[in-house]
Order: sequence, then C-alpha cells, then structure tokens
Amino acid sequence: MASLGNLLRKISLTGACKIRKPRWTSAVLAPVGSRTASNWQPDVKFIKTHEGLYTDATPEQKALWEIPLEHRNKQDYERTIQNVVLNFGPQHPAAHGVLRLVLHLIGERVVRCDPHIGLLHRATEKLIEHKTYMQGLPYFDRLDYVSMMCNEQCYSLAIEKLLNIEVPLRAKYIRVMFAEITRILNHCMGIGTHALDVGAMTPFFWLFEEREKMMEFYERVSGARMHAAYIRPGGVSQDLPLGLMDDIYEFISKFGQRIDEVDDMLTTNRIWRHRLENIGVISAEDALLHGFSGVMLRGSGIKWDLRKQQPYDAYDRVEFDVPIGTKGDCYDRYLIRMEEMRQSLRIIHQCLNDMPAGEIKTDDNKVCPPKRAEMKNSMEALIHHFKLYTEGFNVPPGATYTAVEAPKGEFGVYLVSDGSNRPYRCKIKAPGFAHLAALDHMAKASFMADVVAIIGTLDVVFGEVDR
Amino acid sequence: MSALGRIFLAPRPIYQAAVRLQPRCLYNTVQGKGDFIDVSLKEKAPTDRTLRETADVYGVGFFIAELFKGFSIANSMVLREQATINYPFEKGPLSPRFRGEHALRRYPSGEERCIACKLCEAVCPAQAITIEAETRADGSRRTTRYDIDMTKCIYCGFCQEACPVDAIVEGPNFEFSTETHEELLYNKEKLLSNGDQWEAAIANNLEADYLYR
Amino acid sequence: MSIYLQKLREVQQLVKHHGGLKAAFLTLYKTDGLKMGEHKGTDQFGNRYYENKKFFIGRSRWVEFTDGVGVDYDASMIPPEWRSWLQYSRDETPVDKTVAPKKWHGPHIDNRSGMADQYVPYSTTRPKIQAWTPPRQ
Repeated sequence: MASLGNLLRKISLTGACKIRKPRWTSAVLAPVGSRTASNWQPDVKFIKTHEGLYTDATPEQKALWEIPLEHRNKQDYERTIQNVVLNFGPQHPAAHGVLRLVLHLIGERVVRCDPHIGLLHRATEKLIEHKTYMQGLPYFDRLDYVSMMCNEQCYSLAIEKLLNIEVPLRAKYIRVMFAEITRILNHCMGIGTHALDVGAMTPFFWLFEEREKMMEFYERVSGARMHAAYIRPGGVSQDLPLGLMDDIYEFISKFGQRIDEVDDMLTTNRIWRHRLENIGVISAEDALLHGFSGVMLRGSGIKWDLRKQQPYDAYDRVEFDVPIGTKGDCYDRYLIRMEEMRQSLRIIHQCLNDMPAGEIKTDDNKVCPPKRAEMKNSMEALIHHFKLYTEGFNVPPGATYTAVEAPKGEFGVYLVSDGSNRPYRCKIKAPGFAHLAALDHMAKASFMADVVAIIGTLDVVFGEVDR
Repeated sequence: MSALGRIFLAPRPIYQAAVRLQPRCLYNTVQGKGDFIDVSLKEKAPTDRTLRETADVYGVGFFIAELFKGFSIANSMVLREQATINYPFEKGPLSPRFRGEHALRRYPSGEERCIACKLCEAVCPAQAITIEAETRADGSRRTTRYDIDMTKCIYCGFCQEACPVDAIVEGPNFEFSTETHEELLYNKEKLLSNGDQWEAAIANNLEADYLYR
Repeated sequence: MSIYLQKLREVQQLVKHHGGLKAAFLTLYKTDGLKMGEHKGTDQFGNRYYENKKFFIGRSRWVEFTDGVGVDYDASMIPPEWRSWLQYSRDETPVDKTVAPKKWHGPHIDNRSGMADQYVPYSTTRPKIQAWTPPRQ
C-alpha cells in the first residue's frame, strides 16, 4: 500500500519529483534495516580496485577512513589495555632473600600481588630421606637461617618423641636459653631489615652489632657462628664452656638499653607510625583462615603461643608473658616483636639463675654418642660410637608432627619413620610459607611502598619458604 | 563557637603521644604472671584528655619532639666508642671450639694418626671426604687417598667428633680463601701439611676443650 | 678544658711512640689507625704484637706486620702460636709459654693462592688403570 502511494506521488501532475534512476550503491543493495546490513560484501567496484597492480583506495573509501571529528581525540578504537606489571625481582634489597613478586599496579596502587617462590629450593626434604638422622641435622640449621637453633630444636623434639626418650633437665634449660637467644637474634634481624626497607637505616646497624655479640655466644658453645648443629636428639652436643653464662648475663643486662634506643628511635616516631599503622591489616578470622601462626596471629589479638599452649623443654618452668595486639596492622606486630625481645631477656635471666647441674645428653648410648674419654677406654663405648657415627640410631616406626614456637611462627616437622636409621619422610611446615601466601590479601589496594612494609612485617626468610 | 570546638577536638592520629611504660627492671617491660599482655597503642580519645595532655600532644606535634629525640640518639652514637675492629691487624675473639680449615694430625713421634677407619667419610653429611686405604709397606693400616672437597664441606664438625684417634680436626684457620676452585680440593698431602703448620694452635685448642668433648 | 689538653697530650704521645710525625702518618696510611700499647713480643717473621687493655675485647690486641711486606700484608701471615693469642683464644703469649716444637712441625706459610707456588690438587694413589704394551709378534 505504501509502495502504491509512493508510485502515485512520483507520477503526480505537480511534477515536483522526478523519477530518478536509483544509484546501485551498497546502501541500496543492502538497505538499512535489512539483515545483511552489517555485513559488507565486496561489490563490483571494490573488486575492480583490487584487480590491478596497486590496490589503491578509491577516494570514497579514503573518505571513509578518516576519523570523524567527535572521535578524533578519544581514540576508542579496539585496543588491549593492561595494568602495569612490575617485577619486584629476585635481586632486590627489600625482597628479603629471593622473592620474585609480580605486581600488577594502577599508578602506585597494587591491584594484584603474585609471589613467585622456589628460587632457593634446595630439595631439603628429599635429601633428608637419604641421610641418617644425625646427618639430617645441619639441614635444619639452613632452613630458617636467621633462627638456627629453633629449627634444630624442633627436629630434635620430633625425634625424641618417636624415640620416646626424655632429655636431662640441664639440657632442657640450655635449649630454652639458646632458643630465646635465637628469638632475640631473629627479631633483631626482622626489625632491623624491616626498618631498613621502610627507610630507617640506623637501627639496622645497631641491631646487627647486637647480633654479632649473640653469634659470639653461638660460636663459643658450638664452634660456628651461625649454623651451629648444637641441639641434637638426646640433648645438646657439648656443655657450656666456663665463663659463658657470665658473659650472657652481661649481655642481657645491657641489651635492654639497646632495645630502648631502637624503641625511642622508632616507636613514637610519626614517620614510622604513618608508614606502619593501618597497613597490612588482617582480621583475626582471616588470619586463622590463611593459616597464620606466631606473631601474625597475635597481632590480630588471638591468644595463641605454643610455648604456653603445649610447653616443650623447660618452658613450663620459666615465667614469661606473651604480648598480643589488637588491630592486626604492621605497627602492632612491630610492638609485639619489641616486647617479645624484652620477654626473652626475662626468660634468659631465669634460665641463668635456675640452670641445674647435670648431664647435657641422655646417657642412652644407643642414641647419643659417649664422651670421648669413655670411648677411648671402654670397648662398649667404642662400639656405640662406631655404630652411631656410621649407621646412626634406629628410630621405632611411627609418625609425629612436632611444632615449636619459632620466632617467625609455628615451625613444624612431620616426621615419618619406618624403623630404620633414615627418616622415611620429613615434611617441614614453615611459617613463612603461609604468611607469604596471604601477601596478596593483605596488600590489596595499598601503595607499592606499603607492599615493602608488609613483606617486612611478614618476616619471611626464603630458606624456609622454599626449603 | 561549637564549630571551633569541633575543629580542636577532631581526632588527629598523627600527633598523639604514646603512653610510655615506666622502667622497672633490666628488661623495661610489663611484668605479668605469665599472661597475654596487650601491647597495642592505647590512645585516649580527644574528649578524654586533660588540659596537660592536650598541651603535650600539641607541643610534641608542633615541635616534632620525638623526631628530635631519635635524631639525638643517633647523634650520640658518634660520641661513643665504635664497635669496628681494624681487621687484618686486630681480629675478633674466637673460641677453642671454632670450626675452620681441616687438618690431619700426627702423634708426637711424627707418625700420622689417621688409621683409615672411614668413620669421617661415613658421617659427613655432604659426602665431602673420599678415602682409599691400603696396607703400608711396614704393615700398618693407613690411607693412600684422603681428599676433602672444601667446597662441599659444610664445616659442621661431625668428622672431628667421629674420629676416634683425633686425626682429622677442624683447626682455627678461616683465612684460606683461594682464587681458583681447584685449590680448594684438598688432598692428603695438603691436609697433612696443614696439620704440621697449625699443630701449635690445634694443640692449644684441644687442650682447652678436651674436657667438654 | 682539661679534657682537651689531655687529648692533645695523648696525640703527642702517640706520635712520639710511632717515631715522629712522618712515621706516624705512614703507619696511619698502612694500618688505618694509630694506637699505642705494650709490646708483647715479636715472631720469627718480624711481626710485632701489642696489647692495650683500655680498649674493648676485639681491639685490645693487635699486630703490626713486618716492615718488609709494606702494604701487601695478609691476615694469614700470622703464625699459629701468636694467632691463638691474637684471637683471644688464650691469654698467654708464646713468649710467656713456649712449647718446644716437634721435629715434624712445619714452618708457617701464608696463603699462597694466586702465586706461583700455590697448591694444586693431585691424586695420592697409584693409578688404577695402567696401559699395557701389546706383545710383539
């Protein structure tokens, strides 16, 4: 009906519109509203332009290529937009070891934080399966290489649980004393490097000088400043040399002032507080869900310390407090670490006062080698010495998960024994692993400088994360 | 008037001073009876502050007093005795138990102690010791090869604990750095000559420490 | 006021102890420090050992290397007897407590790495694989 009206209009007597021959353009061939309007098929003219040597565009086509005026600056043509991906690389002074952290950033704010670990993987657990229990001990020194004797203590406790032996009281006190010295060592390193990353360089040097003094104690007792191999299954390897306890007392009587110096430098400092308060906040529920332990949990207010919950060695005989925080931010964890150092001084003081006389190894020569004088005089002692240093002791079959309150958190060893002289499986639960995994959760929508502060507060060491 | 009051009483987390704990003993800490103590910062709300506390807060805030305190502590270190040791001329203290470069010892008569029992080879966690043994011309049991790969060695001291005759010891030398890797693959001659050189120091250390072993 | 005069007098004593201003500067150049102490002994190479208990442990005992080495001193040039004393392992110097060396004690050699007579590893056993000459026809 409409077309009839069109035709009638065209042949009206006014003669205003003439019948024009329509131009056969693509708009006509595929008129607006038709199904194929969005599909342009090449027409004859287009094909003719491509016939020759040069496919030069016709002027009509060139006119189509011009960016219309309203779109000229916006450039909203199809392109891929991606956030800045930055490699906070393995070689970085603030990466606390070998951490490859892939950061997706918008400007300075972190969208996503992706830690790539494994650059320090040394196949520790696999190698331990091929070594005797005594030969496996130096591996534990090298896991969390800033708190050595705590790792050895965990391993020794696990073996003692499977062997079902009891360690003499003096050995327990020595172990507790050195575990607390180790805790101070670790917190000196943790706070020192955290301050260094945030920008305060001086406490780093002061605290490392204190570490030197403590490493001197390690060296006097075991022979090596760092990797001591001192705490063995059955007790400790050698007794404390004369004069060491006096020197430890002199050290702890002056160390309180060192902590105060660092405290005065950092705690009320407005720059420090600005950098650390409300950064890296984690709620108590989230902390539990992510598998945190140690200072990370206590920072959010959870009252959990393995030395109180399941006391091992002589921790039930010494009196100490455990600091907790409330907000779960970096600042609370810093305050907790400072207070833990002071409480460690208290524990060491009590150990020095209460150190009992006695043996430092179990006298069961099937587990602990005899003293050298005995070994050179007695046949049975020589045989035990020989068997222990070649074959090692046999551990009854069983499995145990033993955990200690290492300075970084809960360091655990899951030891499976099949009755022979080698561990069948030795799985190491490192606190840094779970802490680092939650970095993305904690660092969401924070600035890149805050990521540095958060890594410092997590107190990760890649020896234990990568093993 | 109330608007002015609200400006002054608005919470300003930057300028609030922390409560300082009173020093009580050598550790300057809160002495609980084994509890969980809360160490987080307890700041008073601006409405609870006394006039003196408000003046303190604003004074510290305006005069950046805590920054000056930290600065003065850092500066006081300049005037204190420095802890640096002038290395090659002065050395840090070392105990007799120090585990350094290995050495093979001899009896006072000059006879080498090592009887090729291979206990050290068996206990080495890094398998750094290689031993081959043969009967010597005079009929005694001695090693022909005793190699320690000092680059595999982890300096744990297990070999010196294992040796029943105190043949292999870890001496007090730690200054044996080399320019090539090969020089660190010690063989028996090198170890024996080490022992001959360092016997004075090793004997001193053993004398100081044998009662504990 | 008197503390400054005291310090000046100490500097004067130090310079005199080292044998004049030029020698004091030379010592400062070689050893990065000017210290005065009791001369405890000299070893077979000519190194001189001093002690001054006013400094803390770590700085109270020191060595001045023999004049022949100049600035090529090396920490391994110190013989073992004196090293025990220098590193605070013992309180008696070899002068106080001499031990007659056994005949098999070797001379002290410093770290020869990088020099012509450095240690080169070699096998101390008989070769296990020995070539044979084929029998003649």
